[in-house]
Amino acid sequence: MSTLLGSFIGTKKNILLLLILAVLLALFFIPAFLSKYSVYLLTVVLFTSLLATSLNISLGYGGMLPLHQTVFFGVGAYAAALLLNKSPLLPLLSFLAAPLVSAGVALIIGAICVRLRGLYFGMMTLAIGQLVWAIVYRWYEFTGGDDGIHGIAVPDVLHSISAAYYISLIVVSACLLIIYIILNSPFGIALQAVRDNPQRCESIGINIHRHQLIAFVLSGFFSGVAGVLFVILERSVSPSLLFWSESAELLIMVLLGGMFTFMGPAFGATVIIVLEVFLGVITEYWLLVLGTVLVLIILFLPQGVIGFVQEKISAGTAVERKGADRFASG
Amino acid sequence: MLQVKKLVKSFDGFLAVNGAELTVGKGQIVAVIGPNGAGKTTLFNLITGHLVPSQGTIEFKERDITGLSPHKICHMGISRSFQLINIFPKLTVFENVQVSILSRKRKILNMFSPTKKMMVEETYRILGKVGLADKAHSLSTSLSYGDQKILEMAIALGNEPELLLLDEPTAGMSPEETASTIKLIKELASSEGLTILFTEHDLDVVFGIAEKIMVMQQGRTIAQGLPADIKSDKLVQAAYLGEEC
Repeated sequence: MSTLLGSFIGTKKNILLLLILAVLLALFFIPAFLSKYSVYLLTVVLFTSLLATSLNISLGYGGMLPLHQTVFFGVGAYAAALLLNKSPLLPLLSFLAAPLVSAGVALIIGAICVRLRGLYFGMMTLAIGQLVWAIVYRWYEFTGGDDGIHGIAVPDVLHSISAAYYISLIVVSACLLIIYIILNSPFGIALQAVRDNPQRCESIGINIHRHQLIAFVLSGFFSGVAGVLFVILERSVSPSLLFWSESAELLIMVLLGGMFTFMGPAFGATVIIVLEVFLGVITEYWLLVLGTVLVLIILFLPQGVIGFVQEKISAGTAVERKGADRFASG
Repeated sequence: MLQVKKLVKSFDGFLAVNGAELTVGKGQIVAVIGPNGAGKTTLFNLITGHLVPSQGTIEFKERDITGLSPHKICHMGISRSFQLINIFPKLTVFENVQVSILSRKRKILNMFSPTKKMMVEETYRILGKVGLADKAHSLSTSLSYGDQKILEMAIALGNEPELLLLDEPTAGMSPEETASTIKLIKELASSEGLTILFTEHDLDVVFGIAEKIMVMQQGRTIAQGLPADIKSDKLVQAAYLGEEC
């Protein structure tokens, strides 16, 4: 019985792996059959998925409320742009250094904010984030001010949309894998424990502020990676990347997909971007649809779409789970 | 092992603890009793660093731990359970204890090993000892009230403490659950060589397992000594036991 059960769980895991592999293969070959614009859109979906997942490290898994995550995305993009245009660094090094700048900014903002809880944390991140936006918006000599930076010196080999797409596919897949590993490591489990019960965590010897700060910095780093991918695709940046309304949209993506699930934020990002593009063509009031979707989710699917699906699946396997318990004890 | 001297905690002028004295020797089982609001839980929070004392000192193994943060105190060897259930609701029973062991082994900053395969034996050892091994993979909140209280204790054991503080370990339990919990505490004290400090309302429980008793009233320590001495102490009888014995 136990071997039968074991092999069943084994196959279920295998099915998931096969599914991921199939999606990756499809994403690898699909550009050949799509228009340039669709490939462009897919690239946006890819790095936005990474951005939403990075937000979820601190939101869903860390129990923090970062109301202004796109600051790290914008800082990553600006850092890449400035390093490429103004520094003697090799392009590859610029791409690698930019997310570190985001992580550095996250370290500073995080150090100020992690001692605050809930909405206070959120308002502080929002306020400091808007401060960063104001600096970028006004500092003409350095950041180009409200004009942004155009004609960023991205290497020629990356100029085609399909090159940007494949780079994004590889980097986003690798980053999602790394984030998945981190969230399932002792660090990730402890982070969820801190989210659920900070007081108890302190009494089992976890330094909760340090733990949340590390998670916040990681989240800033991966948002910065998404910013670099944005620069590769667009070769221009503008201060609007760091404006708070971008962060609001990102929060909606995470809520839609489900903030207590790993794939939820990526799913939410995909749906919102697709909705935005297709409804945007039909009506200029597409935000009205977005608002309605949000209200419906909060009322009927508070756990998000992927959260709902996962709940259904685990309810279906509850019997099997009981069997597994017996197996474990026996 | 633990020395509490002239401890005072004031909340905006209200003295929740006002001159508490406590000495706990290695391997002892010590009870802190007193009427509601006597300051027992506040005393615990002061010892574990959840509150910072206004005055007085706390020494653990001859080191001053007054005002240290809870996580540091925990790593020095003091662990606790809480009066109200205080577990990790979204984690399984297994993970609840596992995270505590990972913390003791200072592995919680490890980002690249799958947690599933870590500390499995040790976690099962603790779960086996408290009798929760067969429920290891259930969600912690699906346990019965009594079992959640036991899990509460198991999490504290995961830290492998030298001094274990139990805040009302049997509160709200049925008589059967209470009896088995008392047995468990006694077993743990002898098999693990634990020093245990606990508060309890149920005086049968107190006199059943405590080797030493400290009595608090209005934040003050009014007596401290062997159970037999406490029973015959006039001050204690007047303040507390009088109505119940």
